[in-house]
Amino acid sequence: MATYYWVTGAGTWSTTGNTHFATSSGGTPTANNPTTGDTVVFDTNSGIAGASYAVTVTTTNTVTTVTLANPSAGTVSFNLGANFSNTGTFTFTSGAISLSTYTLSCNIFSSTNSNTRSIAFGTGNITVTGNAATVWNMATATGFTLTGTPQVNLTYTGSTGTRIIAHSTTAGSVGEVGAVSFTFSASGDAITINNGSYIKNLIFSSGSTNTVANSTLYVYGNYTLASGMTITAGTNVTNLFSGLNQQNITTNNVTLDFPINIGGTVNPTAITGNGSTVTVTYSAAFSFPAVGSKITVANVVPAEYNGTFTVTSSSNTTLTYSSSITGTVTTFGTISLASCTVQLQDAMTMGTSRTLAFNSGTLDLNNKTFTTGIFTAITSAPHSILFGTGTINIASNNATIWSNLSTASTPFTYTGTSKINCTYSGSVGTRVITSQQQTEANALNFYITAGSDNFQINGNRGYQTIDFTGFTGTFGIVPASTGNAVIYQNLVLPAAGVATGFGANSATYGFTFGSATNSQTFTSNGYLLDTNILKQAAGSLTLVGPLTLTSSVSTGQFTFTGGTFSTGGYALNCAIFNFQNTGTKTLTLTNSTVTISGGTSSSGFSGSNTNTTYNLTGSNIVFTTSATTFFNAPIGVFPQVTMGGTGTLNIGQASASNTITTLTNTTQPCTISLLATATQLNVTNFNVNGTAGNLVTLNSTVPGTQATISKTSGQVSVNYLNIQDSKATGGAAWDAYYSTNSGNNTGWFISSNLSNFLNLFDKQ
Amino acid sequence: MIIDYTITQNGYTFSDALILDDDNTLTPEEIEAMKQARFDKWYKIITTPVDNPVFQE
Repeated sequence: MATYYWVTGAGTWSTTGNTHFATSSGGTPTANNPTTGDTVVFDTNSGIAGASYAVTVTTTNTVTTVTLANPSAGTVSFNLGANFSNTGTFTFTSGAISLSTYTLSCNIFSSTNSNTRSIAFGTGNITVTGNAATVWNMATATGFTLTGTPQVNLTYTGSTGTRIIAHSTTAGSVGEVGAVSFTFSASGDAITINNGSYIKNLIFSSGSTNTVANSTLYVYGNYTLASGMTITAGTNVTNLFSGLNQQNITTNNVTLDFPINIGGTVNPTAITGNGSTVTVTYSAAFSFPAVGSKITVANVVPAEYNGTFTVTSSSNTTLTYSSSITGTVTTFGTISLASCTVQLQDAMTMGTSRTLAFNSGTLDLNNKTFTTGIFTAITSAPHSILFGTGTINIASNNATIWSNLSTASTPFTYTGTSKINCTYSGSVGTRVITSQQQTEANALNFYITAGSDNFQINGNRGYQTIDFTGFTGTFGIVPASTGNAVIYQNLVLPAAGVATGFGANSATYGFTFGSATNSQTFTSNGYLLDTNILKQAAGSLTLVGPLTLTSSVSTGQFTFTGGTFSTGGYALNCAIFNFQNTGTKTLTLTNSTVTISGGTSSSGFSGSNTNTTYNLTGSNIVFTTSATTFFNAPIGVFPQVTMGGTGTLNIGQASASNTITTLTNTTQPCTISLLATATQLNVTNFNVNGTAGNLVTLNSTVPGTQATISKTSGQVSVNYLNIQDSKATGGAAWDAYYSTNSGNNTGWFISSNLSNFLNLFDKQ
Repeated sequence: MIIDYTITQNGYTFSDALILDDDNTLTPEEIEAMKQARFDKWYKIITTPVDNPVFQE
């Protein structure tokens, strides 16, 4: 149990035959060979006259304690020439350690100060065997330089006590390039890694059953957990943000019940160009871009500063990238780490109330299942998700559970098949999804698979498919939205039987079906929608099942401006169906009843005679309003138009003709008013009849001006009409019985009584 | 040794991988049990609502 002091400068520390050890600091060396139980000190008196010296360590003895510090006027170089171990504490105060290919083993390694010191790891490593203590202490890393591949192995295999890893809390000179990898052998004790540690790889070996405290970590490399271990839940964030290497995440079914950030951005405080390089000054908190990292500079004015560049020099407060820019910056913009790539090696599950903040770079699901509480990508930085066949599950509630706010200038992209499941199965609060802006190529698929809560979709943003199968709550567009939610693939609403409409979330904005190429479907499942629908762009939309919108003319409109719309043979109910525009479109209503429940004197079922192709076989346009509505579709031949309301149905278009095979009614009284300025209404069958005391009025929209109705042949025989300002023509005989002639009619035989037979005499 | 697998039960699909030592001695039955246990743990998490409170303004 002796203490030996290294003296007389350079030399070799061997197992035997040593000549540099004295029993006092600066003392006379004798033939001492430190061994187990001894302490070895390198101090200010170890060099000759305080000068620098180098020690080559080849001993195979095991000492207990080593203290390494510089001589008074120089530096000590502690070079391993063999594996070296001490069973106690290795205190590294100052100097330079070179491990080469060897292992420096100790019970505790301590080097926390601001002295200039370095470890050249080479391919060697430091092995720490201790437990129940602060076994690694590099909390203050100021002045520390690490080179080679810094690797620390923590080999305790028991389950006693708490090991504390007090690692550097500033990237400082150890940055990403010099970050230390920690590998824990299988053990079962408690482990605490101090808050703010910057780490390369963090590996827990198979068989580990440790309980690891939640702490704020900055991880530049791989992150591997063992299936039997636990990380305590907490709010401290693990940051994954390498600028140089892909980070592989292996959780082995350990739940990560804490927040995680991927990548990062910063608002620079200054950007200057000098012709060959551009220097960016930024907050010291943004210290990660190592030399070689890819960064994206965006939103800087002038725009010549923007783009993706390789960092050629960096420190805590400035980074430099090669370029040739001379403009004067007037707007600083943002910088993000572009080359950060995180790849899952197995399924990754975060706590259901935790948030993944995806700030920049690439998240590679690698065909695996990723589960988090909340997913946010509120960033101006480029970011992408590689789905492959993987899925993202969002399990939280009562919050904006998905935020992906990329803009056209800072695009979000993805590959594979996007599938985002919103899995919360409770009934509390409101979930909101806000996807990226309206770019069809990068819109995402959302599946709301469970829950009986309220679910809101942010409008003015694009989505591929939104599918509510499994959801039994109410849903709607975010009330503060500034536009429709744009659907580029399919929309599947919750099953019928749940609360109808958007309820308290009723909004002016609804859904736009906007694909340029896709064959889209709309499955309403009987859900009564209190919102407007717009079908636009060149793709197609087909109903899967009946669709019912509210009868409100402000929130029950179906507008069709482009592509193909087919009712699929199902009923369509809406307040207004409007395709009165010049977009190229095909309207297929084959074997469908379209019920118009609202309208105005100029809107109801209103179509254009420009660029519209019809497929109308077997269709029936039914109007049910008790107010005023409108039919106008001048090019198509509509098999049947039915007045089923007690209000007024205006028919016609100025200077054009509408053609209806069968015009009929199912309610009395009602009014059919033909547009006075239209050319004429052509009918094959005019089956409009009132009942006694409930006459149906047939008139013109302009009192005193006749409107024309035409049938080419045969005879019209109708009853209980009140006819005014009507010109019946075309070759057919127009007879109205039990009817009232209110004046200005031509072409009609109008009788106030009796049947066809009895009026034969009147007609003669 | 990496064993990629996917389990779909009750409409929930879980895609995962077992990353095992190359010299592991697990039987096929034990490996299948590991897969199912990992699915079961995930399924319980994802189907058990942990209600975040509704804050009153």
